[in-house]
Order: sequence, then structure tokens, then C-alpha cells
Amino acid sequence: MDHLPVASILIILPLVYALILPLLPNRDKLLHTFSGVGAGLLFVLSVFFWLATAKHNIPVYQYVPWLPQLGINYIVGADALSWVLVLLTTFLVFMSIVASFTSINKRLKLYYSMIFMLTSAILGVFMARDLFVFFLFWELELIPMYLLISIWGGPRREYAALKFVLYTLFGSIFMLAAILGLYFLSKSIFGDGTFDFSRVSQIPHLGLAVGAQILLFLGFFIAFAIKLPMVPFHTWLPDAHVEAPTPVSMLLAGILLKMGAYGMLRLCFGWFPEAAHVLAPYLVLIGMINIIYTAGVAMVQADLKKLIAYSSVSHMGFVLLGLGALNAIGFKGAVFQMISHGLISAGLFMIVGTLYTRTHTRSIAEMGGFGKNLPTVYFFALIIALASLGLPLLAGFPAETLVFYGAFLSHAFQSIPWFGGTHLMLSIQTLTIISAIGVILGAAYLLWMFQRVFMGPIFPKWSDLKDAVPSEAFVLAGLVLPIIIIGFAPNLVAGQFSSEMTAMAAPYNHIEEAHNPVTTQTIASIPRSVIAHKKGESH
Amino acid sequence: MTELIQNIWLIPIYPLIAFAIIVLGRWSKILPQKSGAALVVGSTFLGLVHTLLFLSAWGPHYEPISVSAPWLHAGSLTLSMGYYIDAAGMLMLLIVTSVSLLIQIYTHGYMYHDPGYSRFYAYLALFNFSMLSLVLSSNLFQMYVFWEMVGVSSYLLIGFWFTRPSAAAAATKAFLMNRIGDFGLLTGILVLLYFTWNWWPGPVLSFTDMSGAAQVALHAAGPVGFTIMALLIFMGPVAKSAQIPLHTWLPDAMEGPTPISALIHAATMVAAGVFLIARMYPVFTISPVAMTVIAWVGGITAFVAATIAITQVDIKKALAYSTMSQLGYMVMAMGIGAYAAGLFHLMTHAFFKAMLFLCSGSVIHGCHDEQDMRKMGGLWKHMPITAATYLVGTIAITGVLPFSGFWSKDEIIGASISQPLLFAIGVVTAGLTAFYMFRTYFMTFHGEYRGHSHPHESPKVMWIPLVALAIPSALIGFALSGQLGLPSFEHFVHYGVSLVENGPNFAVMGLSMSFAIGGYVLAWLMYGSPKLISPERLKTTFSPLYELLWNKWYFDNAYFWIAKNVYLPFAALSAWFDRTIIDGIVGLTASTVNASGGALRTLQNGRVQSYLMIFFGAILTLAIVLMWIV
Repeated sequence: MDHLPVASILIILPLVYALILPLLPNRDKLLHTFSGVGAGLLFVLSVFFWLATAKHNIPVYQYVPWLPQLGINYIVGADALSWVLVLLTTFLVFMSIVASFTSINKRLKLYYSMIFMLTSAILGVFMARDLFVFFLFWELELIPMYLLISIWGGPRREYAALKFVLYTLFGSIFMLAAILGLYFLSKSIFGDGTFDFSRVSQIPHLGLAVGAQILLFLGFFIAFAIKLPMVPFHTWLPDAHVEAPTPVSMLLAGILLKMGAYGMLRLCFGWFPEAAHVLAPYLVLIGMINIIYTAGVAMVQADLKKLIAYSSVSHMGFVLLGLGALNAIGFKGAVFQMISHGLISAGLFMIVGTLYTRTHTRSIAEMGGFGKNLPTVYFFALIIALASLGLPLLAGFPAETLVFYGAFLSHAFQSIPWFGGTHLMLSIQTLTIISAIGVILGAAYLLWMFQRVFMGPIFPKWSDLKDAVPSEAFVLAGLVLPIIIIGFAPNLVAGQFSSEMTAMAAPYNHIEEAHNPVTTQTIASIPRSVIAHKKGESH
Repeated sequence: MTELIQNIWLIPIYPLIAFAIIVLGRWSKILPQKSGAALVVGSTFLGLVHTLLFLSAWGPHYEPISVSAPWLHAGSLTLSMGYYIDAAGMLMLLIVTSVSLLIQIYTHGYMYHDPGYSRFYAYLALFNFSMLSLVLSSNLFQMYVFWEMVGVSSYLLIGFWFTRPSAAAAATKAFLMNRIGDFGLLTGILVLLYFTWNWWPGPVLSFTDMSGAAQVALHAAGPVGFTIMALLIFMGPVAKSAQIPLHTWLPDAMEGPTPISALIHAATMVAAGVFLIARMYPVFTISPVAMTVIAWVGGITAFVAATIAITQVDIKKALAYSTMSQLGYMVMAMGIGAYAAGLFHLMTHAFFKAMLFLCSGSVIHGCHDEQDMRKMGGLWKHMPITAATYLVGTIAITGVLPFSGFWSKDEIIGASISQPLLFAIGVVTAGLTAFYMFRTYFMTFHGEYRGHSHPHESPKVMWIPLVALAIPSALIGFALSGQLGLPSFEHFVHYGVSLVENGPNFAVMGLSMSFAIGGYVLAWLMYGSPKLISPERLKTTFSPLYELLWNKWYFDNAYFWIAKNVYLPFAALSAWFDRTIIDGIVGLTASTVNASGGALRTLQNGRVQSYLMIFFGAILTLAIVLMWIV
């Protein structure tokens, strides 16, 4: 295991699939099977690699000189944070390919090739350890995504696809500027220009001014914020979702958005702690707006898929809130939310797709009473919707819990510096409480949707709809099973990246140490009898 | 064997296993249609036996036991799950397992012909799992987890007949109202943790350390902050126990099948709010303001709900308002420091209200799904067992000596004597209680039958649980009153040193009982045999008052108005803003770029060189800015 280029195998294998697919005979069944088996294999392989390395503390790292004179090297690797996202990716790709069996029926060769190319690019982003490689994979993802939306999408697919690409490119310009900024800085500091994560990440600690840190942070951040998506850069997402076919929506919500969250955590918050400390108030403020405002927008959507898309945006706000907490609890909550949201949002889009293939409508007003004819879909939709609104013992709850607890226990800021030296008197605690209203709003739009779509009397025109076919039930069960397992035993997931997040939060520890709510003095001021009494009780 | 008995965390696991077997078995079509009952009843029976075995092995000092294991670990915060059992917890365990068992047996008869028979039993098992876990929770976080889980069980069961629009709406409403309370509870927990999280000697938020934590929080937060925190936590019980103003979901919850109304919305889940107050008593008792608010919320709820109950014509809705009113008594008891009395009433109420609901179910079943009391009457002749047990329940709730309500409810009223206004509310509400309960009794069972079907007594499987519940309803109050030479309820269940000295105060009890008798006489005059006073005439005489009560003090209308005229417009405005302003700016940018693109076509020619130029332009800008800063 030590010498196997694990990361590269995982990145290249889907590319190989993408190249084999065009050579296969053009028979639908064969193409479906090949892709399904291939994706299943990729998932199994990633689990196997993960078990064989991470579980034995074997570092996954590969360094291949590429253009050394320019400081460009092919460096890939995986730590715990990468691994959880890699596993999420291979799993969701497998699920969405099985979901494609029923929902995609034209130009399958190109379709599956593009899905695998997309997979490769995403895995590359999660495992790149060199900024140049990272940026390459980041941009590579655009091509398959553009084609997937613009060929297999709905009526306004070209508009949506173009909007998606232009938005991302707009962000990429800033990221590229930040990358090159770091490159030139490394040149002046180290003597040789480099894109290597491990070296570039040192730069902010070598006496770089806070102002410069902030600029670099923002350069990366804009690109990631668009991907996340963060209000007000989110309007590409509802359009993309509405036009994209179901499996592509699952990948878009399930994994693509996580590229933004992942980048924020590793690059912005991981590398520029001082900038993060300055900017955290604004990020938390926007995170709160993400949660509350888009929940309101979701509430009144007439289009089921748009409702789910806005709910997805709303839930990604928790990632911002968790990151802005600047402590291990919040970071952990943010990562947990990436995983939970990945499973749950993919599940919600699968539900929408299952209904769409039967009714060919996404209008909530035309739906109703599906629970009667589609009991399997009904129960899975129920579980996924409950998970999404943060019901305990399902995957969404531990993520939200960690984010809320992390943010509320944080001392990242007491007020938000505003124009002209004024301050907005909003502490992170206040913003957390306002964000927590999101648990009410989330329940409101999800359950109201559920009531209108699945409950009540069935419309006569839908009275002969058939329940989920095996492949659909497989996908739904496949997504719901981990949602339940993670919900019951969240430490199974949280334990994987625990020490990693503690280490990532280490540069921020001084914030907490400066404000300790229970100082020795407060404890001393409590009557001894109370403590003695308590100790006596707890024996 | 003793080890098995010691592991009381297994008690909630039995129904969870039953739930999993039913869900998987029915989905894969391996299990036959009617197998749910045996599994679920079996699991509950096992739980009851386990509880009793544990109880017998637990003595003689009944020391609280607390065990925790980490559940979710992050940084310096570890959230745990485990179990904690003390007298109050044991009381709840006994109530939940015994009442559940009887109701699950009854369900077999009530739901026999329903196509969702096994789904119903699966939900019942899920509820039992959640409720028992809540009762055994070792810390506040765990309690929050199962607090939500009982909420979702309630949601599923209210919306059990989901094809009915009214049931679907009631389910959503119940969940959302409870979510508002949960929001308060969640933020209350966060505030508590904020001030104490470095302090906890054991697992954070554990009930064993709560009194020390309350002191720490009080010192760190100051009295105002501490009171706000206590009131936020209290929001949870306000919603769960249907206290004003978050009560409107409970009457609507009657859309669920009647066994659910008996189990969840009368005997157990709604009492969880009172139980949470009991668990968090170390926090509430050191905040006088919070205690006063709790007492008044309870008192007002008791009174308002009783006034609404007197106008209801749906037998289940009348009982629902009665439940709300009795929960008000319990909450009031907690607020005035009568911890034991509140829990005593929780117990007696669980038995007699479960029985009353099951009786109403028997009536509905016997009258072929009729719930309107105006179309009943004279059912005494057709269903004597149901009528007799309903009468026992009515007398018990009214508080007539020596039935159980007399001992528990009147103990609360007696304890409130130091606060004259609350005392007055308690006594007047006792009179109203007698009036509305006997009103339902007379309307349902006396006089001539006014419906059009052929009422019949329910099958054995339904009336045996009724009779079984009638025994504690009648006797348990007296048995534990301390008057029989047996140890009293307070001997087992008490909080520290009792804050209020309240042995039975017979003068007070006499007063409230005379009000009760007054209520009974009035009910008899209006709805009993002679019908000396016409309800219709009173309706017209006191028309504005009647309108107020008939419209349930307009709470629903107010909430509906807020949702329709405040929140939905806000949401619509957000959606408009999103489409028109934010996306409009994006579109405008695009078209501006497009227009200037025409002018700059030479630049936008698709050549890599020109893109590189743009990139280098950006870099140059950045470099200049960087140099300027560094």
C-alpha cells in the first residue's frame, strides 16, 4: 500500500472509464451496466484504499515533478478531510449513475463519459496538493458540467449552463490572481516560486501583512463563495438545478457545492488565520442571511425543484456559520454538514426526479396525495425531508448541532466593524440565535411541501401512478441508510476528521483562551457549599 | 440476570427492535399483515416487566443511577448519551409502559379494519422508543434529542390518515408549533452551556450536576441573563405541554386516531413538558421571575382551556381542551414550587385521561365514526361498560372524594393558597372542569339517542383496557395520599426539601370540591335529565362571551393572520427580491458585458493570448496592491 499511488489511481480510473465508453457498442443496456459497475468498483476501491491507508496512518502523498523550472509539480494526497469527501464523491457518483438508469435515455456514451470526467475532476480538486493542479481540476470540472446541463437539461438548459459556467469563471479569475499572488510571494520569500500546498501555506506565517492576507483570502473566497453558493452569488444555482437532469442535480448539490466549502476550509481558513479572524464577522452575517433569507425564498416557490434548490442553499449557510466560529467544534460541524448535506440534498433531488419521471411536472400545485400510490417514495421522502429539517437520529442533526454549539460557544467576535468606525452590535451568539430560527423555517417549508405533495387526496389524473422501480428504490435506500447510520452514531463520521479539525483550529485557539466565560474567579465566587453538595450528589 | 436488570437502557431498545422488525418485515412483505400487534405489545410488556424487576432490585434507598457514554465528540466539547433514573424517572417509566401496554391492546380492536394497521403499530413502537428514551435521558442534550423524536412520532401519528387534508394540516401544524418551542429550548441549552461548559465535572448538561451548573450560570450570567435563559428553556415545555400561547396544535391533533390521542396527546408526551420542568428544577427554582412566569402560564392555560372546553361539541376536542387545562394545573404546580403535587397530578391524570379518551374512542367506534356529541345521547343503554368507566373518569377528574383527581389536583390548589389570584383561578377552574366534564357525560350518555346509526358496545379487547384503567383512576390517589398508612407519593417523589409544605389541606379541598359540585349541578340542570336551563338561551344571552369561547379566544385566527399577512409576504418579497434585484443585477452585468463586448470584440476573440492578457492584468493589479500593502 505504501508505494501505490492511491490518489492518482482514484483520479485516473474514472478518466479511463470516460475513454473506454466511446469505444463500446452503442447498446443502452450495456452502457448502463458498464457505468454502473464501473462506478460501483470505483466506490469499493476508494473504500478499500481508505481502509488500507487512513486506518493504518499511512500517508497518501505523491510528488511527480512536472515543470520544475516553473515550480509546477503534480502533487496529490489525501488526509482525513480529503478522504471523507472522496468517499462521499465516489458514493454519490455511484448512486447518481444508478439513478440515471431510469432518467437518462439519450446519447448515453457521451453522458456517462462526461459524468466520469466530472468525477475525475472533483476527485482531483479534493486530493490536489499543489495550487496549479488544484486550479486545473477546478476548471476541468466546468467542461463536463456545461455539457451535462446543456445537452440533457430542460427547456432553458443553454441559459442555465452558460450562467453556471460564466459565474464560475468569474470567480476563477480572482482565484487565479490569488494563486499567482502566492506564487510571486513564494518567489520573493523562498527564492523559488512554488505552488506546493505545504510550502505556500507557510507564507502567511512569515510576516505577511494582514491586509495582504485579506486580499489573498478574498481572492480564493470569491471563487469558493460562488460555488458554495453564498448569497448574493447564488442565483446560478436554482436555474442550474431546474434545468439539469436528476442525476446531475444530485451531483451538483451533493458534491459540486462541497468543492466550495472544502476550498474555504482548507485554503481560506486553513492558510490565512489572521484574515479569517478579521473577516469572520461578515461571513457569519452572510451565513445567517443564507440560512434565513433563502429559507423564505424556498417557502413560496411553486416549482418543487426550485424549492429544493433554495433549501440546499439555505443549508449550505450552516457551513459558513460553522467556519466563522473559528473553533474545532464549528469546523467539524461545517465538514459534517458537507457530508450530511451531500447525502440529504442528493436524496431530495432523487425524490423530485422520481416524481418527475412519472408526472412530467415540477409544479407543486399539480401534485398531491402521492403517499397513497407511491408508498415507497413516500417513506423515503419522509425520512429525507425529516433529515433535512434536522431531526435527531438522522444525519442532518449532528451537523447542525455542532455548527450551533460551535458558533454559540465561540468568541470570534462581539460586534461587527462597520463603515466609518461604527460597529453593528451583533455578536456571533446573536447571529447564531437568529440562524437557529432556520430550524423553524426549514421545518415549515419542508413539511408544507411534503403535505402538499404527498398528503391529502390524490388527484384523479395521478391515480394510476406506479411506485418506485427497483433501481430507484436502490438509490433511495442507498442514500437513506447512511443518513440513518450517521444519525444514530455520528462519531463514526465525526471521529474520522476529529484530530484534523483540532489541528486546523489550532491557529485560532488564542481567541478562545482570551475569553474564558468560567474563570477560576467565577468558580471561586460560588459558595463552597453548592459545589460540595453537588460533588456529594454525583458520587 | 441482575446485570440484565441493571441495564435499564434496554427498556427503550425493545420497542426500537419491534419497530425495525415491522418496518423491514412489512416492506419486504415477509411479515403477515396483523403481526404488528404481537410484536409491539410484546415489546412493551417486556419493558414493563423489566421496569418492575428493576424497581424491585433497586431499593431500599432508591439512589439515583446515572451512566453516560460519549455520543458526539468535537474539539473540547463532548455530548453524551446515557441513562439517569430517579424517583421521578421511575414514575414516568411506570406510567409510560403501563398506559402504553393497555392502549396498544385496545388499538388492536380499534384499528383492526384499518388498512394501515401495521404502520400504526410501527409508529406506536417508534413513539415508545422515543418516549422511554426521553424519560431515561441522562442529560439535557439527550433529552432534547428525544424531545424531537417524540415530536416526530406525534407528527406521524396525527397525520396517520394522511389522505385527509385536515389530518395532514394538523400534523404539520403540530410539528411547527413544537419547533417554535424547540427553538427556545435549543437556544436555552446553548446559553446554559455558554456559561458553564468549562465547569462540568462529568458529562456536560448531565442532570446529576445540574444544580451546581445552575449556580455557576447564575453567577456568570447575572440574574437577568439567567432568567432569560430559564424562560428560553421553558419555551420547550410551553409548546410540548400545549400551554398558552403555543397550545393551538393540541386540539387539532385530535385528527389522529383516538388511541393516539389517549397515549400521546393526553397521558405521556404532552406530560413530557412537565417532566422537563421537573428535570430542570435546579435551574428554575433559583430564578423567582421564571417560577412566577411558569406558575402564571400554567394558571392562565388551565383557566382559558377550561372555558373553551365548555363550548365544544366534538367529544375529542372537549377532552383535548380538558387535557390542556389539566396540564396547566401541573405547570402551575411546578411554578409555585409544588413539585411533588405536579408530578402526582401528572400520574393520576395519565390514568384517568387515557381512560376518558379510550372511552371516547369506544363511543366513536360504537357510533360508527361519529364525534359530534349533539348526535349522541342515551348511550348508557347501548354501551354500559364504556359509560360506567367514563363516569369513573369524570368523577376522578372533577376531584370528588375519594377519587384520584381529588388528591392530586386539590393538592395543587391547596399549595397555591399563598398566591390568592392563582388560588382563585385554580378553584374557579375546578368548577369549570366539573361543568364541562359532566356536560360531555350527559350529552353523550344521558337522555335519548339523537344519532342515526345503531350504537353498540365495543369488543372485549377494547373494554378490558378501560376497566383496567378505571382501577387506578379511582383509587391511586387515595392509595398514595398518605391517609391509608401507606407511604405517600411525596415520600417517593420530591425535590430536595419540599418548597411548599402541603399535606392534604381539607379546608381548601372542601372549597374546591364545593365549586366542583356547583359545576356538576349546573351541568345537570342544563344537560342532565330535567334540562331546566336551556343552553341555547344562555348562548344568545351571553352571545359575545360565547363567541369568544367558541372561537377559542381567537388564537388560531391570530396565528393564521400572522402567517398569511406577515411571514408569507416576507417570503414572497424575498423571492421577488431574489429574482428581480439580485438576478436582475446579474443579468444587467451580463448584458453590459455583452454590449461592451461588441465594442471590445477585438479583445473577446477567443484567442488564448487575449485571455492571458486579462489574467496578467489582474495579476499586475494584485501585485501592485500587494506591494503597496507590504
